[in-house]
Parts: sequence; structure tokens; C-alpha cells
Amino acid sequence: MDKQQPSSFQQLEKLGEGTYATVFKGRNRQTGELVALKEIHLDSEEGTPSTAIREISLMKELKHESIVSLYDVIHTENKLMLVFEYMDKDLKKYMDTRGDRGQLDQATIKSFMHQLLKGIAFCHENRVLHRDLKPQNLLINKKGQLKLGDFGLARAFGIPVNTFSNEVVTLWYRAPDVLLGSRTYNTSIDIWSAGCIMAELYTGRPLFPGTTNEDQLQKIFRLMGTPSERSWPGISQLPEYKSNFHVYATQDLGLILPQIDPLGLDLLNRMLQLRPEMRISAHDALQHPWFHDLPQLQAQLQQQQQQQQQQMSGAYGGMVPPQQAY
Amino acid sequence: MIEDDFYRTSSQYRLWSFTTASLQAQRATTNAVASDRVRAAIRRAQEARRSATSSATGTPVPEVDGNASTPNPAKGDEKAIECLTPEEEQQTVSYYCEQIIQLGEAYKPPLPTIVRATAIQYLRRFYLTNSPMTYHPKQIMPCALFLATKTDNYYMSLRHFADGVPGDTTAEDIIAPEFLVMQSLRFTFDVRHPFRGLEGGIMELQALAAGQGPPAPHLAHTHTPESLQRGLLALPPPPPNATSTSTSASSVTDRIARAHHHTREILKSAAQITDVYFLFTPAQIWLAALRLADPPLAEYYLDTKLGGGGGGGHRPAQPSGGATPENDVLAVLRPKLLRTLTDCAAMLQAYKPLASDPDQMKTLRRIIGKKLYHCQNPEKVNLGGGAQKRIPAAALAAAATTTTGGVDSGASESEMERLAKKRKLENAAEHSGSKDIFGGELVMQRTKER
Repeated sequence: MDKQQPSSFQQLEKLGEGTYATVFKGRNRQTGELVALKEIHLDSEEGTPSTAIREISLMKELKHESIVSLYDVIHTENKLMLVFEYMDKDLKKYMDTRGDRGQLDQATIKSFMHQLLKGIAFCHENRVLHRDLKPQNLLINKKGQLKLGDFGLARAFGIPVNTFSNEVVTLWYRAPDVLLGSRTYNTSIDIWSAGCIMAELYTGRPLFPGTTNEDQLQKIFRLMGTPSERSWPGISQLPEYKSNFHVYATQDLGLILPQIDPLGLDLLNRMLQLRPEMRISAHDALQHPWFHDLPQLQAQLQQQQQQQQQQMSGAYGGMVPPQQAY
Repeated sequence: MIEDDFYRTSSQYRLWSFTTASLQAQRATTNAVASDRVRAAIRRAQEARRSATSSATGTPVPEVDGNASTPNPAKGDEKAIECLTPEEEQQTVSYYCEQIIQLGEAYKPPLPTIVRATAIQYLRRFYLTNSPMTYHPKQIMPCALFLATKTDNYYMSLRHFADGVPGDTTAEDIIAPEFLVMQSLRFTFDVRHPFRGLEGGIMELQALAAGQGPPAPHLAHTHTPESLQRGLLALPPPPPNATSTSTSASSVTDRIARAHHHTREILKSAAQITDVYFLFTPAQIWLAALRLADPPLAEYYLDTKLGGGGGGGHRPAQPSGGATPENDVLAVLRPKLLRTLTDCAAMLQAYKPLASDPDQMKTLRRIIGKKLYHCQNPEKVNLGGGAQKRIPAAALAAAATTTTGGVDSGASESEMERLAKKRKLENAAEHSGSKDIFGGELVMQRTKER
């Protein structure tokens, strides 16, 4: 792998622009295989950015079918190129282009959620928090596979729990404990994000589209109810806690998600617990009865996908929507 | 999956774990390849110098041997190229690993233990496939340490970092070999240290001391939190030859705290500079270190996992639970584990810090100060030099792989000669400017001050 030169890949169109990198579609000149090329600009002040180092570091350890694969690292004069497995689009674009006004069918939702939770469970087993799960960071390919991408913000954790910086996770998918300023958060923050994503798969719209930290909290409380020292012991000690939070009663999530079945609603409620220690773990979520009929549903899905693939291959070669998740 | 299965998926297990024999073979190969290259490179440099001299004076090189007044320069130089042995290379690397600990201590605040430990493992991994004759550790060491600050989330600007490195090492010098280091590490930056496991073990022991330690699930029929607590309180004190001895009768929590401290000290020093990371798992390393610090406490801890202790410090020959299949497995596992821990502990115990040992330092002066100076590959010395900002990947790849030729001959002879001359001048200046045997070595002064 050390012999790979940048010229081994034909650089195709730009797929997206990240914080410290630009992502291009690429083709392996020898095999014809499509790849995603994440080009990292080397900082003459600091050398290779630490975000890139950490992402490479984690991707080298996390080899799993639900996590996008890092194939290679290539160095040129003043940049570093990460060669990733090619995925067709991110979940956000997928919903925009495939769903009915963004809503997806039951079988697809269940399949995606199962794969998402498998990827999260694997990260957590390996003591890695993703910290930035959102539809733009979940990648979908033509086989209907969903994989976690963009580990730029992820980090390893372990005992004893360190104090982490609280400037992580895109606002909309950010857990209430993080929003309240907790610095001892853990795996449960990724579960909250997964819950938000699940609701979004049903409605096609973000569940809590907050604009500021306070607005985000208010949107959460309006639906999930305002927590108190009684429902969440210790909450008043958190830095961003205000004793004058507007008190909302807990709403029934089923009312805003009419398409969801009772089992699905039960799982969603377990993921969207305000109190972090009450949130279900990824491992337990995968055992939830909602997933029991997944094998039958997947068989149906496979048939659908074969049909779609035939249609798509006819039209392929046109525009590929941008994706930023690598 | 159990914890061991997770470890086996790690890059540390997949790429950086060896048997004693395979580790030795790897180092022998690296040494042999590098020695051949050094000899070839020095020969090329000498030839270039000779042809430059002869063309400058206009006199042809005498073709006939035997002229008594002019000894054959080729033969004389050839003899002088004495390369480092694999053992000498290892000693050299160990010395610079110790320097990482020192350098980390010099920052305010000192760099975290974990950052230094990661950097040391980077340096040790780097020199499994590279020789100090090819890349001098004094150039690679600061780069490895800076890289470790990035992987371990200890943000530090390069400028601030460079200020802490003694000598005239510039920020540019430090990151010049960054990609070479990254590539030699095969882009695996995650190092599994024994520190985290130790913290967990100590937390368990503290819970056991408080009577709140649940017995292992497979031993629940023989142990209770209370019996485990009694066992811990009844332990004989650590023997006088153990690292962690108590001066007076003190509480069990003090004893655990002392064992914790002494184990950590072993993990910070001996575990870093020896080969234990290459040969053992993190769990084996911290357990072996705990056994050195407080043997009865370590035995007791193993009893809580493997049974056989009966809650007390002394183990009966037969497990108390009778001959269940589970006990059979544990009965086989225990001696096997103890053998491994004994091997690991012996390696840890054999470690003597180089810098504080006059005999070892004398040897090192000969190796680094004299021998390495003469067998440093002249084509690689300008690693961090001002002329070359970043090393091109292709050249690095050629240097890192075991194939010879090709790229090496791509550089012009005059360029090599220039490099050789430059190096010679620099070294001469360093030698005359300082009496220090390392030629103005960056961290030596600091060590001497202590």
C-alpha cells in the first residue's frame, strides 16, 4: 500500500468540502474501482492537522461493515490524501432524492436504524465516541448499506472519564446533557443523536431544529417535557441549567410521528431519554423487539433494490449530489 | 466478544506484536539492509570526492597499487566503515526513548505520561524497520513526540513545542520527518497502553477493600463481597524485596494506593524502554508490574478472577469449587498466565535506566558518539535541513522499503558529495565547539544538569 501514488487515482468531481479537507470522487486507474479521496491540506505551521491524525488513527482500528473503510493514505508534496471506500450519497441527500417528501418507507427505516446502531455499538465496544452523528455523516450505497463516516470529531474514551470539551455535535442532534454543559458525557450522546435521526427518517424533517443552545433546549423540552431535579437528580448542578426554564409537559411522540408503529415508538422513547443514564445502549437497542421482523423485511428490500439498481444503472453518470461525510 | 477479542482486532496486536524470535529477526533484517546501504552510500561519497579531487588537480588517479608514499585511500576508508550491530542500534534507540521522558518533563506543565509513552512506542516501532544509521534518532525523536501530542489530544502549537526542545532545533526540523514517521508507523497511531487497565484494576481493588466488590460471575458460588473483603484484609504484607513495602501497619487502602503508585512508576519507565509492548498485552504488562510492586496483592487480584484463593492469601492445591469444567479451564489458565506474567516481570525487572548508569553510558558514548558518527548514512543526514522543507514521499517510500537501488542512484553524485561535505563540516564545528561526546547533543545538557 505504501507504493500507491496519487497518480494511481483519477480525480473526478468534487463531492464536498469539510472543515479541514476537500472530498473528491476518484477512480482507481488499475481496477476501475470508485473511491472517495479526502484531500487534507498540510498546515505549514503545524504539519498534519491533528483532526486528520485522529481520524486516520480511529479508522485504522475500526474495521466494520457499518463503518466506512479507509483504504490508504497517500502523501504528495504539500497534501495528504485519504482514500476511502466510495459511497453513493449521504443520508440527507438520500432522503431528499428517494423519499416521499423526505419520508422513507418502514422497511428502509428499520434497516438503516439497525445498521446505524450496529456501527454505533461497534464504536462503543471499542471505546470510541462518534460525537457528531447526523444524516450528513451517514453514507448510503446502492446496496442499501448505511455506514458511519467522518470521524474527525470522534475520540477514544475510557475510565476514568475525562472532561471533554463541550463544543461538539451539531446542534440539532446534540444531547440535552451536552447542551446543559455536562463535561462527563459518554456513549449515550450518540444514542440521542440516533434517536433524532430515527424520527427524521419518518418525517423527513429534523426533530429538533434549534438555532441556538437555548433554543435547542427549548425545542427538546417542549416535546420531551422540562426536566427537574425530581426527574433528573443532579440536573441543577449542570453549568447551563436555569431554574427558570419554561416548564413544558411531556408530549406523546406518536402524535408527531403518525406513521410509527408501537414497537418503533417504544424504542424511540428509550433512545430519547433526557437523563443520559436512562438512555438505552446501542447493544440493547439492537435486541429490541422492533428489529425482530428485520430478516423478512430485508428480503423484501433486496427485491426492491434490485429493481431500483436496474433503473439507476441506466441513468448513472449524471450529477452526483455533494457529500461531506468523509 | 470478550476484552481479549477486542484487543486482537487492534493494530497493536495485528501489526506490532511479536514473538522473541520474530522481533529479533525483524531487527536483524533492518540492520543488515541498512548496513549494506550505508557502506554503498559511503563508498559512493568517497568515489565522488576522489573523482572531484582528481579532476580538479588534473592528475589521474594512480592505477597501480603499491606506491608506499600514497596509501590506497579506497582500502583505508573501506576498513573504517564499521556499522552498528542490532544490539547497538537498540541501545541507541533506548537512550533516545529515555530522552523523551526527560524532554516531556521539561515542559511547563510537563507533558502527560500518556503522550510520552505513546511517543516512546512510536520511536520503538519506527526503529523496527528503520536503522539509526539511516535516520539519526535525535532527528526522529522530537517528531515522534510532537505527533503523540496530536494523537493523544494534547494540543500544543508547534512553535511552543519547538521552544521546549533544547538546542537549535527549529519548528521546521521537527515536522520535516513527520510523514516518514507516519508511514513507518503504517498510519496506526493508536497505542494500547497498560495504564488504563491498571486504573480499572485499582478501582476494583478499592471496591473489594470496601466490601463492595462483587465476585466474578463464575465464582459467585464460592465468593461474596464480604469473603473477598476478608481475604484482602488478611493478606500478608508485601515481602521486603517488593517495590511497594510498608514501613508500618497501615490500612489496606494505603496499601492499594502504594501499590498503584509503584506499579505506575514501573509502567512509566521499565515498561516503556523494554520490549514488553511488542511481546505482551497491556493487561499482562500491568499485572506483571503489579506483581513486582506487591506480589500478595497481585496474587489476590488474580484469585478473584481465576478462583483458587478461597478468599485468603494462600491458595489450596485444588480449587475449592470441585472439578467442574469451569474450574478445569481456570486450573489450566492460571499456571499459563503466571508463566507469562513471570516472563514479563523478569523483563521489567532487568531494566536499568541508561542515563544514571555510568557503565551503560560509557558504552553509549562509544556507540553514539563515535561509531554512529562514522556509519551515519551520508545520503540521509540532511533530513531536517533548511534546503529541504519536506521529504518527498517517493524518496521516503524507497528508504522505508527493503529494496535497494533505483531511487538512491537518482540523486546526483555531486549532490551526495555536497551533503557529505556539509555533514563533515557541521560535525567538525560541533566537535570543536563542545566537549560533549554527543557533539552538542540536544538533550544531553539537560541530563547533565541533573
